[in-house]
Amino acid sequence: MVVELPGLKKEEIEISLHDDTLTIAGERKREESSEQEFLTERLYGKFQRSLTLPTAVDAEKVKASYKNGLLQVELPKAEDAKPKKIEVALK
Amino acid sequence: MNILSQPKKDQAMVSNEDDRQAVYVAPSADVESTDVGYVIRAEMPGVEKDGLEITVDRGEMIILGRRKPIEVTGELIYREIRPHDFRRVYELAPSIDSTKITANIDEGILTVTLPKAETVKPRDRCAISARKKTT
Repeated sequence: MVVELPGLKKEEIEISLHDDTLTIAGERKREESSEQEFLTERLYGKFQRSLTLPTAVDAEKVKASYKNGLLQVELPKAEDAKPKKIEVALK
Repeated sequence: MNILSQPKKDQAMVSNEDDRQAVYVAPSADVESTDVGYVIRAEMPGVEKDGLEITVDRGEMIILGRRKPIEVTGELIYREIRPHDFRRVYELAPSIDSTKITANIDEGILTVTLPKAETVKPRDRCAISARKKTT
């Protein structure tokens, strides 16, 4: 999963997994500035997004990285959820 | 600083430069005004320093940010991120010294600093002091 989250430090991003729901949350803080804002388009404040995963994932093996303002989350499917070949025994 | 009205950030913009048709998205950007100039902070996730191109031409500053393509290793089951590169044009007020514009990008935030020309900065009260003016 790739999420656009420019302007954060990785410590500011919270990722949590509860059952089959993945939640990404954090807060966008404004740069400290006493200067006059001329035009503000960027959104600031707390953010949160949850999504339901279509298959179960192995929570122990979830990995996340943050680079160039993109958060990448890898969620390996749980063993049970992986497609399995079922051998049909022929008599 | 005048800002050319650009399409709303949700709309893609087609540019016909160099006889090429390319589709761009205008990045959300804040503009700050200070005594010594302006600062623009634009969101360009996925853009690294080598993907940036900032040019000044006839009083216009064109900011271009090329994203590194997002690798899809499996089957793409949902796409929301628009893969387009970023582009935005600003009309520069004459008070800006375009030779002194600097920029850097960090975690997808491009910061462009546009200093006002020396002679335009607010002066101290004692204008009588013999100070060399840069011309």
